[in-house]
This record gives sequence, structure tokens and C-alpha cells, in this order.
Amino acid sequence: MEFILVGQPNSGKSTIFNSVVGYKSISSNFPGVTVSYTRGDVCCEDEKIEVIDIPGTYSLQATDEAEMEAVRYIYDLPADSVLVNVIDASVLSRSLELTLQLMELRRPMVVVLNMIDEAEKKGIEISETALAGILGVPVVKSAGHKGIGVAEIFKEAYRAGNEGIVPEVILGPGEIEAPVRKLERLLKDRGVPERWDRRFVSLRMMERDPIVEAAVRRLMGKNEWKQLEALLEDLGKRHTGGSEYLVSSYRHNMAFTIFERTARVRQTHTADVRGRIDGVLMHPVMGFIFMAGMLYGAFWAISAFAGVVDPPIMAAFSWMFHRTVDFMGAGSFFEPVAKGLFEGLGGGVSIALSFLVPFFLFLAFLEDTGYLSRIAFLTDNLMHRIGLHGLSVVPLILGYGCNVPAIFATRILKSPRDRFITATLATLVPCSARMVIILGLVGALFSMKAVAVIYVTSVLVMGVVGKILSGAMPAVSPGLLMEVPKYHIPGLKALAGKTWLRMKEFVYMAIPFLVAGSIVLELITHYGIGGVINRILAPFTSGLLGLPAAAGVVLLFGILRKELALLLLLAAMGASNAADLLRVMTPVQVYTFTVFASFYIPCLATVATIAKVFNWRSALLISLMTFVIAILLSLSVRGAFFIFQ
Amino acid sequence: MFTQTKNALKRLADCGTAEKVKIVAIDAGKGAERNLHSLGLHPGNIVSVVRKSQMGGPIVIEIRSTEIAIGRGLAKKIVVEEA
Repeated sequence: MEFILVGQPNSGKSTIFNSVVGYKSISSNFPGVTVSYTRGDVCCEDEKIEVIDIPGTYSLQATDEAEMEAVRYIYDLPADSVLVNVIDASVLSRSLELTLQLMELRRPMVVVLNMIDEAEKKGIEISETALAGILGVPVVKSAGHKGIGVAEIFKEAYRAGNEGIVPEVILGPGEIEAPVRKLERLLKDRGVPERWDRRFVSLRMMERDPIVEAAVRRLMGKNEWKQLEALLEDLGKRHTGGSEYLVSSYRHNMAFTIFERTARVRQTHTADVRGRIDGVLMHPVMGFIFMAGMLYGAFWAISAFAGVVDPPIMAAFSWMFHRTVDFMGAGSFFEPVAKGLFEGLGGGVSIALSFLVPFFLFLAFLEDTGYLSRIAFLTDNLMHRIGLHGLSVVPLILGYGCNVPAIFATRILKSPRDRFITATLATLVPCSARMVIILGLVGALFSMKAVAVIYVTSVLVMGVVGKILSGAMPAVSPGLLMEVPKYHIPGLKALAGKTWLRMKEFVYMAIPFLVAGSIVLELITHYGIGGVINRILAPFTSGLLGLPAAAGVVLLFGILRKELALLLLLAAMGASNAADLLRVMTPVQVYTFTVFASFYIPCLATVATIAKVFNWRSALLISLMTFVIAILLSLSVRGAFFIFQ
Repeated sequence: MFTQTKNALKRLADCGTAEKVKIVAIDAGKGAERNLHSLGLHPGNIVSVVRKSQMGGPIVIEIRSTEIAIGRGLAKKIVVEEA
């Protein structure tokens, strides 16, 4: 047996999943966070049963990648699976539309009225017995974040699976049932894929579901298929909006009817409080002031935190390296390997603990309180100027921590064009590794004003690149359309769990590159190959950018590990600390180096992530573009210094 | 897909804050229409405008105690009448 958690975005599926199997799934107060599915186990009567948390979807009519993932899973259910349909009880009517679609699958099923406490606070009272009577499957009330009712859910799911409790068939009016019967006749038995119910296939065909159509087409002869198509086309012509509209509006009305029969709504005052908070946070002036203040505060707090946490971590790894060398003997082949290993690990762990953990915790807090949706609302207008919309701001903000999860997060966007443009812009966001370079060089040697110039420039560059890309890929962006969730007080466990999941993306994608890069670099230094590389790159580094030739190796390997570029530069220039650097480098060289290192080619881990989420062509294209941007900006820095000094 | 209408028609984007209107039609492509349906917005529904942002930003509407933000472009494509 296998339990599949299905529900609309933000219904609390992941919270239920996490409360039974421990933290594996991202749950948040932001629609569309589970972008791929997660597995775990739960015990029912001494039997170990697999639970699968799939992305939330509003309906089986997928509108983005994450929803597509969910629909594909639902269409290909293992034979002995039980659907656990999680519903946000406070939006019962809307949620039932998905429930009705799922019922058409005629699989063992349980309906969970989750967040029942929130619903009751809003004055909604639901009779689960009445609902169970209409749907024909067990209905369980729960409050996943408090762990209430969770055990009951899986108990009922187990029962539904064992006893084969499948939903009732809710027949529609004649205008639906007549074409369904006609389609069923045409489909016969062989037109229906084994895993599906015939009525389900007919309804999905009427909704012009491309996956179902393709599956049926494969099974049917050419003539049979033509008959089917003719019937569907005729049906489409007879109903304004097409046959899909006929079915979806029927389901919509049915959901509302069921809601009216099973729920009662009293007036309450909670809406007032929310309205007052939103009046400030979503205000066109006050909202922006609050947002800017909060983001600036977070930036400041995180860099202060890193300043305290980073040095002891680096010291610890350096100590481990020295002990290892003592043990294995200096001067061997192992010394550079060990040095690379510990430096790579140390750098990765240090970035992870001192920057990413506080950053992701902060972001998780913004998500879970519901504030992130308000940011998307506020910035929608600005994002429209570069051909995107408010939701794109979410991956971009993530990018300030690490570009890798930012690229993954573009999957919350519906159109492939928006995803590509947002991913491209995300690579231009100075991530925490680049922050290390910017603060360590420009911040330490010049002023915070000079640091601000780089950050402001990066935003301007994003604006220009966004404008150019959306001009080059003209398409009407579907525009912002998202639920603005209620405010929640986030639970500590949920925040920690989510932070860990984002960290995992960094640990698995980025740290291997950091370690491998460091080892290669140490070997190159050890065998004195660096000089050759520097000489080859000299026309570019010294000629074009006006940097010392020794920067060649540093920049080449900065692609592997951005934050390493700082330490590498100090080592290559023979400087003991940043202040010492000014002895061997001019201010313009330091500034040019910082700007170039911040913009040229996102680190290799990010490039690999782009290739994974999109394809290698996009990854190369984006790398090339950032490289050109870095050169242009570096030349501008040189020009600016030349003019003003 | 127009439902029966008695009152003057206008666009959701042109409605004022706190105004209560009934969706009459969605004058947009299949994709946009589908997205709206999936959030529970159909012709015949009564929605109220909760919040409008300045200068062509999105508009927040409430439908059955859920709030939904809609970009101005999309809101221009939703035909409504006074409820």
C-alpha cells in the first residue's frame, strides 16, 4: 500500500507529511513550494507504508511545472495506492473542485479537512459526516501544524485501502452525462488505459486534457480516433467556451452546492485584523518603506553574524589540516590534496553556517508568516517594467543567499519564458559567496558606500538585462495571479526543517564543486602550473582589465568557488590581509577585481543547476552573457576611475 | 459564456476598493482562463475588491473568504457587473 498526499497549494499537505515522517518536505505559507515529490514511511498496524508528498495543484489542469509534476504522478498511480486529499478547510468550496476531479479516478481515498482550527476561527463549521455521506469516502478533521488528527488520517487511509473504499460517482446534468456516455461508447474497452476509469477518461477528454488525449490516441485506431475527435469538436462548438468550460463550470457549481449543504458560516472579526495589517504592509508607500527597512536590517544582521561565526570555523578547519599534515608528513602529494580538501570543506561549511543558515531561516520566516506573498504583490508593478511579474521576485531574493536554490525556485513560475528570464537575472544577484568578496575587499578597504554602489549597480544591471531579454522574447506574461495567504505564526520546527531542505540543495550541489575545485587548485599551485596559466591569460587580465597577471589563476578558479577568490587573491599577491593588498594593487585594480569577480560566470554549481533545471545550452548562454556583462562593468570601473582621478 | 446581465458592464481593473461585483465573463486566452478557474474564479461568482495598488499594480479581491492578487493586465480582462 502507498499513501499519496494530494491537495491544493498551501493546504498543509507538507506539514502533515513532516509531522509523521520527520523533516523531508518544504512546507510554507507560500503557494507552490513543493516542486518535486518527497517520500517517507509511516507505520499502520505494524505495516510500514510509504507516504508520498507531491506538489500542490489547484486542479488536474496543470498550469505550471510543479503542478505538472503532481498531475503526472496522479495519472500514474501505483495499483494499491490510497489518495489522501488534504483540504484547507477554510476554503472548502474551492478545494472541493480538486476533490471532485480526484473522485473521478475511483481510487481508494480519504478527505482531510486540514487547518480546521483556522476555519473555525473564521466562523466556518463543517459537518464531516454530511460530507462523508456525499463523497462516499472517510472525512477526517485535522490541524496538521498542531499534530491534531494526524494519526486518524493514516488510520482511515489504511482502512480505505484495505476495504477498497472508493468515492461515489456524482452524476452531472444531462448536458454532461449525454456526451460522457457517447464518449464511453466510442472509447470501448481498448481506448481506456488499464490504470484509468472509463468515465474519468471521458470527462478528461471533454476537458481536452493533453496527457489523457495522448494516452488514448496511442491505444486507438486511426478511424476510431477521428470519430472521437469529431465528437469532441462538435461538442466544443455547441458550448461557448468549449467543452472544457462546460465540465469545469459544472464542477465549480457542484463544489459550491456541496459546500452549502455541509458547511455553515458565521461572521467573525479576524478579517479586520488582517485587513489592518495588510493596510500597512501592502500600502504603496508604507509597504515599501517596511520592506526596504526589513531587507536592509536582515542584510546588516546577517553580515554581522557572519563576522562573528566565520573566523572560528576557518580556524577549526585550518587546525584539522595542520594535524593531518603532521600525521601524513609534509611535502608529499597528499599535502596539497589535504589542503584543498580542508579549505574546500571549510569554505563550504563556513558559508553554509555563517551566511546561508541565517539567511534561509529569515526567508523561511518571511514565507511562513505569509509576508513573501505581500512582497510579490508590492513588487509586481516594478517587475512588469522588465516584462516579468511579482512572483519572479521570490527566486531573486533567494539568490542573495545562494543562486543554486534560486534557480530551483524559478519552477514556481508558470511560463517557460518567465522562468528563463528570472533564472538569468538570479545569476546576477550577488550571492553570499560574492558578498564575502565584496565586503572583504571593497568594504574593508574603501567604504560601505562603495559596497552599496556595487549592490545598486547589480540591481540596475538586472533591470537592463531583464528589459533586453523580455524585449527579445516578446510574449504576454500571464501576469500575477496568486492567493494572498492568511498570516500565520510560524512554528520553529517548520522553519528549521525548511532551512535544512534549502541547505541540502547547497550541500549536495555546491560543496562537491568547492572541494574538487580547491584540490585541483592546490595541485596546480603545488606543481607550479599557475604561472603558465597566468601567462596565457595575461592579455585578458592585464591587457583588458588592467589587473595584475597573478589574478589569472584566481579568476579561473573563482568559477569553482567564488568566495575563494578573496583568499586566493591574497595568496597570489603575497598579501597577509586585505589592507596589505593595497601595497601591491592600486584601488582601481581592487575595485575592478571585485566587480569582475562578482559578475562573471556564476559559480560552476550554479551553471550545473541551470543545466539541470533548463538545459546546457541555457547554462552556456547565461554564462557567456554574465562574462560579457562583467567585462563591460569592469571597463566602466576603469573608465570611471580614469575620469574622476 | 456570458451570463445573464442587467447592469452596466465594466472591467475588474476599473472597480473601486470595497466594491462588490459579479464576474460576467473572462475575456482572455484559454491559459489565463484556466488559471483563474483553478483559483476558483468563474463567471457568476461574486467578488469584492479588497485592495488596489497605485499606478497599475495588482488588485486584491476576495472570494469566499480567500484573498487573491491579480495583476492589472489580467484584471482588465475580467468583465464584471455590479452585484
